[in-house]
Amino acid sequence: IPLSKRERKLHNWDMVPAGMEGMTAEQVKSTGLFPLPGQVVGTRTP
Amino acid sequence: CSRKHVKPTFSQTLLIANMYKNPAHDPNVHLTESQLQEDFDLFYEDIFCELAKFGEVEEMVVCDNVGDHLVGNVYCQYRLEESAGNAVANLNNRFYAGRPLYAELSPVTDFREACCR
Repeated sequence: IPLSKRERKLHNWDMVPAGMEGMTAEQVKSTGLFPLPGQVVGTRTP
Repeated sequence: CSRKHVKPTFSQTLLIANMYKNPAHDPNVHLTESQLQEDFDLFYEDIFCELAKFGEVEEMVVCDNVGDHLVGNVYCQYRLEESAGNAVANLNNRFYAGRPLYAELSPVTDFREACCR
C-alpha cells in the first residue's frame, strides 16, 4: 500500500505546545522555551 | 571534535536535532526492552511516512547516542538535494509532539563513515 494510505498509530505531527496555539514554530523557538540540549537558554549558541 | 562543522548549502541529508525522546533516557520511566522497541518502531514509522512526502528517501537514521549534540537526532538522506532542501524549509515551521522542530542540512553522505573525533 502507498505510504500516504498507511495507517499511523502516532499523531504527534503538528502538535503545538499547550498555550502556544496560533504561534508559528519560528516564534516559539525564538522564545527560548524549547532549547536544544547543550544550548544555552535564551541564545541560539550551542 | 570541535563541533565546528561547516553547514552545507546543498545536501541530500537533513538533520532534525533532538527529535526522538527515548523513554529509556528518562529516569522516571520504566519500560521493558520490547516496549522500548515498540515505542521506537512507532516513532520511526510516524517520521518516515511524513519525511517521505518530500521525496524519495534513501536512508533514515535515529541517533541513540546520549551526547548533547546527538541525542535523539534524526538524519534523513534523500535521493535528491531538492527534497532535503524543501524538507528543511518545511520542518522548521512544524511542531512534533508539542515541540518545535530544529531542522538543517547535514554534510553526512554515508552514515557508516559518519564519525568524527
